[in-house]
Amino acid sequence: MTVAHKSHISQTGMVSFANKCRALAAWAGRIAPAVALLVGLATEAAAEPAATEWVDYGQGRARIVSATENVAGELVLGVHYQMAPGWEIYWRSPGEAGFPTTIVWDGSDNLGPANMDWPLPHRFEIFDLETYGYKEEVVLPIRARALDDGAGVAIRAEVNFLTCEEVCIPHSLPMALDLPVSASGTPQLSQHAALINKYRALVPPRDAQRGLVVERADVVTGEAGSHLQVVAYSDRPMTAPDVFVEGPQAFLFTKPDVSLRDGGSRAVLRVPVAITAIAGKETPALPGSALTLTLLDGERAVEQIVTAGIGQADTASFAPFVVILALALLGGLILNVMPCVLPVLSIKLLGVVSHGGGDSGAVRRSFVATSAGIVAAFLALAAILVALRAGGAAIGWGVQFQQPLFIVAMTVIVTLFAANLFGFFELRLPAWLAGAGGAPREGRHSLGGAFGNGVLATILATPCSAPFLGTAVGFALSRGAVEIFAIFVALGIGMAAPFLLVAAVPRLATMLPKPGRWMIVVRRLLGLALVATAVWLVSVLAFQISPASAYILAALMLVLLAVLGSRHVWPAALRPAVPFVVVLATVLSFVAPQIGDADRSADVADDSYWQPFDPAAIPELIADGKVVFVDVTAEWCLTCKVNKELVLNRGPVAALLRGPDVVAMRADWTNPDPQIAQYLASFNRYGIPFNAIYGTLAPNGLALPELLKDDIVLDGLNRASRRNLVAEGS
Amino acid sequence: MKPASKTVKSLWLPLGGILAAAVAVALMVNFQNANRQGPELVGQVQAFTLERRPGHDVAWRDGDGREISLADFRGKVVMVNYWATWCAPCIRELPSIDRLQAELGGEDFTVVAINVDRGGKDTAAPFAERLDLANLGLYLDPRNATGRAVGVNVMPTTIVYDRHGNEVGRMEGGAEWDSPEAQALMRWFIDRST
Repeated sequence: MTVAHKSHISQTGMVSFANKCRALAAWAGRIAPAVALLVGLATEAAAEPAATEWVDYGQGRARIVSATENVAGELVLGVHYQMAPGWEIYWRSPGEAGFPTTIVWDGSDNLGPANMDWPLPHRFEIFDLETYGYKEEVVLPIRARALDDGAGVAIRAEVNFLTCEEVCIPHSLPMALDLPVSASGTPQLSQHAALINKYRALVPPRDAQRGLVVERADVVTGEAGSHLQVVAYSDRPMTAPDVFVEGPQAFLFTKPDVSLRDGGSRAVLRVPVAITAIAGKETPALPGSALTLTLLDGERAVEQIVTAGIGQADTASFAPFVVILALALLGGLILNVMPCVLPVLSIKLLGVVSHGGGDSGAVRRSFVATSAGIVAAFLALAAILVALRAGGAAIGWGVQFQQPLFIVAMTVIVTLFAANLFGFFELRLPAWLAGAGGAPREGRHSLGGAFGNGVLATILATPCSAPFLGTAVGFALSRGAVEIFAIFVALGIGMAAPFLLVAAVPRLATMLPKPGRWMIVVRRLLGLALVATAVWLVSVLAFQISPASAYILAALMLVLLAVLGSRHVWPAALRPAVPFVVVLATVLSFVAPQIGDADRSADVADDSYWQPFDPAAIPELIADGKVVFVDVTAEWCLTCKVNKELVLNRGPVAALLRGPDVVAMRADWTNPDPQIAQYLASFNRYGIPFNAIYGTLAPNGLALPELLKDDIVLDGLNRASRRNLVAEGS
Repeated sequence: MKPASKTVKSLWLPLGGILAAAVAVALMVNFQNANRQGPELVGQVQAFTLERRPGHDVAWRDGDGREISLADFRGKVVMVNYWATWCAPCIRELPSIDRLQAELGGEDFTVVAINVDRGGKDTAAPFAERLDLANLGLYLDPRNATGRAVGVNVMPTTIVYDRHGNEVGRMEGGAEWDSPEAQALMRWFIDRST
């Protein structure tokens, strides 16, 4: 405590009288015990029971109150401040300027150690400096106890504090309170008990279960310096979360930039970090330091001690919206050449060929209709995602492939198209489906069909989560409904771009060769591509449900193809049965997923070193010096398969993953799993592939990019485990 | 004619009164201006109080631990500023004090910014470095003996001493000390102190 705080020399006439009285009392207390006794008696006469006299310090008044009028061991006290408007006193960590209340108990009698608690502070700005403290009124609760339970307590306190408004004034106020011993052994509650309890309730509990928790706090170093990225989770939607960070003295943490995710159940708080140490002097590394985080949202607050890790920038939330929109456009465009969309695009191209001699107006209308279908389908997807998110469901790009019935429906549609391309049948109704492939053959160009083309292409595109698409969709899902719609429309426009190009310049279509025999060959080839797509879908079902259900589905699809392909050679009497058989096979195929459930296929031998995903076991493995590699994958995720084939299952990466130093964990998201969804969301990811590396240097995990490369994984494994990188990274 | 002359007569008295009042006001203003001794206390230095007090026999230390007192600056007008790292308005005004020293510091004038943090140099030095106070020396009084002796209990407080070490005025609260009015005030002290 500096002597400055003890200075009572008056500067303003308003406070001079009180100051003089206080100075006199202090002087008397030091010089003449007899006089002090008299002053003390006068003080107690004026004060309320179980409270010291109010001390007016010019910018407010203060006193010490007790929750009980007498004592039986335990003591619950409080420093009660009532401040003049505008004046602030400080929290235990004052922020960029200020100092907290401290109390010197010298001269007290029978008083044991006393601990002050700190109600949740407010964030104030004073001269562009951020401070944490209280205004108007506050009680700082104090827990203490008598040294001798059988005796009363004489409290002699020197309350030192700073109050600031336009200027700062340190104060040191002497206060005295005598509490007699309780004769009954049960203390008598005072009139101040409720007031003290009110402020005790505002003290954020440590590690309490209030449905509010800090999941991780990572130091992220970017071009603009370091910041602390705090991820918080709440069991009910947060509205305005905030966090106070207390750490090593060399660091100053200020007001976070907050973004809400998952409908408010998760928040990412970017806390700016400034280094306050002398240049040239060794700055301690922030990663690995213990931080006290006071997390709050409205009335709720918790205090948690967290070890700072190192993390990666939450880029999705920082890239400007226009950049994300551009990425969405590009991602949509790329979707056109993805294996799951290519057949649909090809069908459309075939349509173009059939337009060969047609009028440009018809071509234009048809292509605009397809574009509209694509955009409309993306809008519908956005609406579904917004609705699901509002319902609190864990959502991601491609998760619809976790639904067996969706896969069956896709399989049936794709198979029927294949049959159509093979020339097995021509659909006239419904027009929007027919146009997707059959109509051109008849020379009829149904706009509804063209529109259906777009819808189908979009639905088939959903599992092909290219890295571009993952970023844009992840960003969209982390934001509000408006952003989701905007980004999905951008995706749609991107994907529709080639069609819009033809619509703008129909001559491109008429430049293609005249229809001829080559078209039939192309149609058959594309039919085969669709059959391949169907086979892939069936294989997804095999992993998801069981091989048995996949075989049944495959058999039904073969029946479908066979019946449609052979119907011309059927006896005339039986021909009316053809539609019936087709419908029956279709209905039965939706029953296929019900068969053979639970009988999951065993892991392939090559994958034997993969352990099941168990996030709870990771800290212990790290403590044992291991590095943990997590791979979240799903059967329907094509990019995941690419990662496995090119990186994870071969070469130096596979060797390391098999080795004794690395524990490889695999999470299978083929079926919906809230635990995995939540795990992904904690990294601000909403789609897969997802890979993370844990080690002593990255206890909270280092997320890898979606598309893996050998050096990315090897570098990540090194970074997570090598000790000297922490200091360099900070 | 008669009504007209009556009108003139009835106007003569009030017009004469107004004229007399105007002359009186003009004389008073003139008299005050002629009599005004102090500088203009406006704008940033509105709260500055001009009050002569005998010099203070106080000492503090510089960054190297050497004892420093007002006597070391005899012959210069000295602006002593008391600051602390916990005092937001002090932190706010320090850069302007640094700029004032760059503008006016020299043979006739100097700024002495005394830090009163309990932590002394370890607390003050990094802070000063972060604020980039290139023109200000580091002066420390961790026990605040100086501030106590001269009656400082509001932070920030700025006290101006003449060339002989007598206090000529002080201000409680922050200001932009390189503002034209603050510089004019310091120049006024420099010009008046011989």
